[in-house]
Amino acid sequence: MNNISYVIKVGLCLLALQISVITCLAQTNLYKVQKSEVVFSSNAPKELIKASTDNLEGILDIQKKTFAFKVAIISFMGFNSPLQREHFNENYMESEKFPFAYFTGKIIEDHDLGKNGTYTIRAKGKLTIHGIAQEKIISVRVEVKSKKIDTHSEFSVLLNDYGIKIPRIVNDKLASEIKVSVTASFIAFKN
Amino acid sequence: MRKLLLLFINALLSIITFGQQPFHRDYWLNESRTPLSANCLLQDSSGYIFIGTDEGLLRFNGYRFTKISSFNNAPVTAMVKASQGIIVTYSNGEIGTVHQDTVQQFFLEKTFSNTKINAVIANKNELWLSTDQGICAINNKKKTIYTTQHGLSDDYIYSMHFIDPQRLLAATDHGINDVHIIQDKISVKTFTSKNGLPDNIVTAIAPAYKTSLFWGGTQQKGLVLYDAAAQKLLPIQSATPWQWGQINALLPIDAHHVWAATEQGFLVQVVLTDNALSYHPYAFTNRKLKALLLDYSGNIWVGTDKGLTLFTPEYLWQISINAPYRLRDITTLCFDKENTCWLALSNKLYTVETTGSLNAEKQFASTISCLYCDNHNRLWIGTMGDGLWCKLNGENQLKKVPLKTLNQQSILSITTSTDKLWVAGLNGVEEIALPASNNLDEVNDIKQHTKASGVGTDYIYQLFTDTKDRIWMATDGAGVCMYDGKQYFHWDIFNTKDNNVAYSVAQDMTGNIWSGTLYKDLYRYKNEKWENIRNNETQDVDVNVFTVNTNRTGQVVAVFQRCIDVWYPESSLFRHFNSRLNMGFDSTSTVLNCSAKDTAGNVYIPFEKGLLLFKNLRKQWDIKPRVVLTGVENDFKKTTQQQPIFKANTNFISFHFDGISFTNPERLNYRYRLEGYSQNWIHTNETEVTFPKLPPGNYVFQVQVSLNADFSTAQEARFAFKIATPIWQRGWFVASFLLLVGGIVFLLIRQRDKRNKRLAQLKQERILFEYEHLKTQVNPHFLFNSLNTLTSLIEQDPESAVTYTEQLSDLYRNLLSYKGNDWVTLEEEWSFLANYLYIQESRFGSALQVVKNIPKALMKSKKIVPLSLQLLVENAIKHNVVSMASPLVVKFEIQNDTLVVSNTIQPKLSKEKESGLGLANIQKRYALLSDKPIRFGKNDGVWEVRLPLL
Repeated sequence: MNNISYVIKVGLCLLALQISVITCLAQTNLYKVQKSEVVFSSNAPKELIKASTDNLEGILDIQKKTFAFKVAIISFMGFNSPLQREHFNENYMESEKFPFAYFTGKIIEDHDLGKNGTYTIRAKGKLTIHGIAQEKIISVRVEVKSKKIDTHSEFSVLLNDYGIKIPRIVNDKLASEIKVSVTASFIAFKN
Repeated sequence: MRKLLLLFINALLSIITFGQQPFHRDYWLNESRTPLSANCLLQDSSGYIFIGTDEGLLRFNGYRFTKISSFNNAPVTAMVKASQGIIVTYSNGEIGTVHQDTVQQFFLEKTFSNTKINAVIANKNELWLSTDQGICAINNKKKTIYTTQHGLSDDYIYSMHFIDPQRLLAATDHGINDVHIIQDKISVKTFTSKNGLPDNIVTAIAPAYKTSLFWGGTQQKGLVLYDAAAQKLLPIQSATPWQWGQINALLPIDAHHVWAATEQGFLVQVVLTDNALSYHPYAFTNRKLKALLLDYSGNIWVGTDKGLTLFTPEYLWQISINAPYRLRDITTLCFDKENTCWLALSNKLYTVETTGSLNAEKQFASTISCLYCDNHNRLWIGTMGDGLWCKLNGENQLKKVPLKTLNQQSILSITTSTDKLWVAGLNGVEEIALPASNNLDEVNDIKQHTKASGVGTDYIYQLFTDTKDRIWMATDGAGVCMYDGKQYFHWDIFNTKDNNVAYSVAQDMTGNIWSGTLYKDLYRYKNEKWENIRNNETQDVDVNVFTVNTNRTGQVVAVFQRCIDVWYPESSLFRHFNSRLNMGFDSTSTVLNCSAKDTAGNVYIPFEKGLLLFKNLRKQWDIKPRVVLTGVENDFKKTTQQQPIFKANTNFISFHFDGISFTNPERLNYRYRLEGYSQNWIHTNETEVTFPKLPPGNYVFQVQVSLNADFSTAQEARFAFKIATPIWQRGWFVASFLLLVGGIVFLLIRQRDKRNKRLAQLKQERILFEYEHLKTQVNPHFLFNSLNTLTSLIEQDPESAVTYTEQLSDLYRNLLSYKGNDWVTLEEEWSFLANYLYIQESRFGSALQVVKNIPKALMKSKKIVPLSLQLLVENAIKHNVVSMASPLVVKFEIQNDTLVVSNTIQPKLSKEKESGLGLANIQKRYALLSDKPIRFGKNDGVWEVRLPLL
C-alpha cells in the first residue's frame, strides 16, 4: 500500500517537475534526457539474459542537485525469446501493476555540473522497482561539455530486495543479482 | 612513571605484529536458524543485551534469545538508554519504550508518517532522532523538526552525537553538521567536501576518547577526525586507501583504537598513531555489518544482516602458523627480547615470521625440550640428551655450553637469576656462575641441588626465578620447592596418596606464586599460604595442570587437559575456554610448560592451528554473571507490585529468575533462600522456585548466581513481600474479642451480684415476716381467746381440750419449722393451716365456715409462699364480724394456676389495731421469688386475694 502511494508520489513529483519546467522554460539549470540506453543482464550459470531500452525519461536539476527518472518496464527488448519477455513482464515484474521503475533523489558531490569537465558523482535516492522503493547510492561518471551532459553508471540490483520471487526451477537460469548499466545524455531545457 | 606508562601503551600496541585474528562465534537469532538482520545493539543496566532486528526486539542473556513483544511489527532501527527507559525506534517512524517484557508505544502529539528513523540519542529528558527527513527533537511528547530550511546541509541524517547539552554533531548525506541548539532554534556549521571532507556521505559519528575529538565514518573514504573545540577537520593520513566500503557503525575502544563495521562485511580495527591511521581488517564473509557493542565482560558483539557474532579481540587472539607446524610436534616456545618467537618442533628450532610461516634455524641431534631467554637476550636451548646450547645477544651462531656436567644431559628446564644460570636435568639442578664477559667458556659449576642436598627429588619439571631472585622448583616427588640461596622450603600441600607432583610454577603481577599440579589442580601462594584456587569449580573438573603462565595485567592462564582457564583477579572467577564454546579451538598441547610470554607480557599457548594469544587486558573486564528476577507469581498470576502483601489463605508464590553471562553462560548455577522462612541457601540449576502455603510474615527472596560454587562475591537479586496475617490473628481482632469476653464476664458477675443481693433481701424479708407472724401468734388477743376457749373446753369436754392444746402447740411448732423455706407445697401449707383452723373453729364454731375447693392433684404439685394462707385467714377474722348470725365464709379455689382466697366482707365496727404488714409482706416475698404478682381487692362484696401457684 505504502509502495503504491509512494509510486503515486513519485509520479506527482515528476508531473510537478514537468509543470515547473513548462512554466520556467527560461531556466538553464534544468536538463532532460535526450538519449538513453538502459541495459540489464542476468548472468546465471546456465543462461545469460540481456535486455535493453532507450525509453528512459527524466529531469536533472544541476543547481538543486536533484533528479527524477522513470523507465517503462514493458519497453525492455532483446530477451532470448518472446516467451522469456512475456514471463519477465507477467511473472516477475508484473508490468501491468507496476509499469515503471523510478529513481529519484539527489546528487551527493559538490561539483558544479554547469562547468565543462569529467566528474564521478554519487546519486543517492529511492530506486523503485516492482512497486518497492529502496534506498540506493549509485556511482555515476559524468561528462559535461557545452551544455550537454553525458552520464554512465553501472550498478546491480538484488531481486530479493524488490520482492521479485524466482521459482526455484529457474534458479540456475536467472541470477539473483541483476547488473544494470545506464547511459544517458542530457540537454538543457531550452528552446 | 609516565614514561613507563607510555612504554606500556607502546608495548600493548606492539602486539599487532603477527597475522593475528581474534576468535569469533556466530549466533542465530531464531530457532529456525534463518538469517535475521540485527540492526542495533544495547546492553542495559541489568546486563541483558537487547538486539533490534528486522522482526522486532530480542533480549539476550548469553544463552537464549527472548522475543520482546511489541505494539509494532516493523524492523527495529535504533535504541538508546534514556530517562524514560530503553527507547526503541522503528523503520516506520514509530517509537516505543521497553516495559518489562513488552515494548509500549511512546505517544507523540503528532506521529510521523513513513519517516525512517536511523538513530536515536538522549539528552536529559529529550530524545533526538536522526531521520531521513531531518533532525527531530522530542521533548515531553512534543516534537520539533529541523531540516535544510533551518540550515542543515541535508535532510538525511544517519546519526548524531552530543558534544555538550547545547551542541551536537550530525552525520548527513552532505557532510558533518555542527549544530548549536539555542532553545528552539539551531545554528549550523557545515563541513563538506568544500571544507576538505573526503566524502560527503557521513554515515556514523562517535567520540574518539580524546577531548573534543570525534570520529566520522563515511560511505566511501573510511574515517575522518573532527575537532569540535577547534571546529575543524583534522588532517589524517593512511598508508593504504580505505577499501572496505560504507561504515555502518563505529566502536571507539580508546584514544588509539576504533573498530569500524562496514556494509561490505569487514570489521576493521583502525589504529591512530600521530595523525596516521593503519587498518587491520577482518572479513565476515557474506555478511553486512550493522552494529557494534562492547559488553562489560570485554566481548565485542557484531550485529550483521544474518544474526549476531561474538568477537574476542579484547582478550583472545589466534596466530595461524603454517606447515610444518603441527600441535603434536611442538615441544617448547619462547619470545626473545626483540619479540622474535622461537619455537621447537621436535628436534628442529624455528623462528616465526609475522606472516605465520616458519624459518628453520637449526636441527639438533635430539629433541629440544626447553627454550629460555634471559634479560640479556641470551637464548638458552635445552635438549634431551644433547646438553645445553646458547645463542648470545646479537650473534647468529648457536653454541653448546662446554660444561662436562651438562654434556650428555637431558635438560627439563632453564632459568637465570642475577648472575647465575640454573639448569634442571635428570640429576637435580645445576647452579652455574655466568661470567660478565659473555664468554661461554668461562661458565662454572657452583653447586648441584639434588635429592640428597635437600630438594627432595632429582626430577624438576620447571625452574622459575621470582622477583626476589629466589628459585622455585616444580618437582616430581617433592611438590613445590623454593631455594632462597641458603635453604630449601617445602610445603606438604600437593601430597596425594603416592604423589607429590608439581608441573609448573609462575608468578603473577602482584607477586603471588601459582603452581599447577598433578591430580591436585591449581594452587596459589599468597601471604605465605598455599590455596587451591579452583576448588570451587563444579564442572569440567580437570585436575592436571600442564602449564601455568601469567600476563602483565594480572590474568593467570592455566592449561588443563580439556580446557584453558584464565583467572580474572577482579571478579575472582575463571573465564573457561573449551571446545564447546564453538570458537574453533579443540585441543591444546599436553606438553608440560609449553607457553611463552612476549616482552609486553602477553601469554601464548600452542593450539592446533598455531598459537593462542591471551592478551594483556586493556581494563579489568567484569566476567561476574548477573541474575535478574523476571517474574513473581502468586497463584499463577503475575504480580507487578513492589513489596506486595499476599493473602494468608491463598499463597502459592513462584519466582522466575534469569542468569546473564556472556563468558560462560553454560556454567551458571544459582542459590536462593527465603529470608523469614529459612536461613539456608538452596543450590539449583533451575530458574524457577515455588513456595506453597507460606505462614504469615515478612519475607525476602534472595537469589544469587555464580559460575562456580563460590558465591562470596556473587551478584544478587531480591524481592521483599509479605503474607498477611489472617483476620483472627490480627491485633485489633484479638483485642476486640478479649473486650467482648470481658464484657460478658462482667455482665454475668453483675447478674450474680444482683441475684445474691435479692436472695439476701429475701432472707431479710422472710425473717421480718416470721417475726411479724410470731408477733401475731403471741398476740395477747389471740392468746386470750385461745385460752378462753381452752378453759371452756376443759370444763365441758376435757378430751377435746387435750386435742386443742396439742393443735395449739403444733401450730407453734410448725411456725418455727417452716421459717427457713422459700416455698412449700399446698399440702404442707394446708396441714399447717388446719392446726390454725382447728383452734379458730373451736372458738367460733359454725360462725367460721371454711370452703376448700382445691383438686387433690394440685395439692402436691403446686407450691406457694409458706404461712401465706394462715395470714389471709387471720386477716379475714381480724377485719370481719364472725358471728352465728352472719358467719364468715372463707373460700379457697383454684383459677388458672392461681389460688383464690376470698371471704365475705362484714366489717367490724371497732377496728383492731393493724400492723398492716401481713399482706404487704406476702407481696414482697412473691416479688422476690417470682415474676408473678399477687392480686387482691374487693370484688362483688367479697375480699379476694389471688396467689399465683408455682
